[in-house]
This record gives sequence, C-alpha cells and structure tokens, in this order.
Amino acid sequence: MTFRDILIRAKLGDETAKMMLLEQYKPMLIKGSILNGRFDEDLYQEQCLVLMKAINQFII
Amino acid sequence: MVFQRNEGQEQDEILQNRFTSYLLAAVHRRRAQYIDEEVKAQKISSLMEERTMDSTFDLEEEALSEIPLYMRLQNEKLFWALSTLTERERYVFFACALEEKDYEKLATELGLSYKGVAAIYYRAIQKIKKKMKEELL
Repeated sequence: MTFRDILIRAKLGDETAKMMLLEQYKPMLIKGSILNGRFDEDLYQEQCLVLMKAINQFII
Repeated sequence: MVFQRNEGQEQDEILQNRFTSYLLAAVHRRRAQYIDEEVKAQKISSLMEERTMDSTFDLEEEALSEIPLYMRLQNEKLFWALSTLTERERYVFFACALEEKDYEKLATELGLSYKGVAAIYYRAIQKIKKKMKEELL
C-alpha cells in the first residue's frame, strides 16, 4: 500500500489509515509540542487535531 | 511503518514529501498560535488580578467612607423608631433583619408559633415605618 493509498483512505474517513498516518507523523507532532524544553500534553492534542485537519484539507 | 527519508524520485514519494512539508508548516503555525494564546491568557489573568485587587480596595473604601455616612444619617431616625418598640419586637426585628434567622428558629427560641413571630416582625416593621415617616413630617 502506497502513501497515496493511505492518504486517500484517511481522507475518506478510514480510521486505520488515519492511525497509520498518526503513527508515522507522531515524532513530528511531539517535536511540535515542546514548549520551553518541555512536552506540552495540551499542545500535543492540538497537534493531533492539526494532523486530522491537514489530512482533510491537503489536496492530492 | 517506519518514517524514513525518501529520495523524492517516485510520484508517491513526491506526494509524501509534499504532505510532510504541508503538515510541518501547519504544526509550526499551531505551535506559534498556542504560544500567542498562552501569552494572551497570562496577560488577561494578570489584568483580572489587578482588577479584583482594585475592586477590593474600592469596596474597602466604600465601607469606610460611604456606608457609615449613610448609616449615621439614618441612624438618629432609626434609633428613635427602634426605641419605641417593645423589647420582644426589637429582638425579633434584629434577629430577622440582621442575623437573618428564620421564623421557625425564632419561634422555638421564644416559645411562639411561626405565625406569632411573623406577626411580631410585621408589626415591628410597620411601627418603624410609621415612626420614621412621623419624623420626616
């Protein structure tokens, strides 16, 4: 299964595909959730929402 | 699935890189926004603290200046009106008006019925009103 397939499935609302993308991009989301050298749980939640929004809005 | 840097040659790899950079930009933007929100929230909460501190100061000032003046003006009339009440009426009036006791407690305390206490209170109020009007005239 290629990245395109996963992305399309996620766009269509496939939960497993979304989880695959979340797993894949987790390190990036965690890195984007560090404030003053500390991991911010609330911001991480927001970043997860950002990923979901990005999946929906990204134009293939 | 492991996130690996790809060569960016294949169509699929190009798509993935495009998505990654898209997401990266969004993540950075969200982080900056979050920091902004936090700074604003801190500013607001510190402002609120100042406000409440100001308002307590105002309240104290009010308590010290305005209310005693008002009380003093009213007190002479009120004192005179209260002095015309009977001991029992005065007790019931103060207990109801100032200590906010309910009629039931007062009734058991004084060995009266609920209605009896209510009547005493009502009579006391009427007397005070009447006396204060008399004073005005």
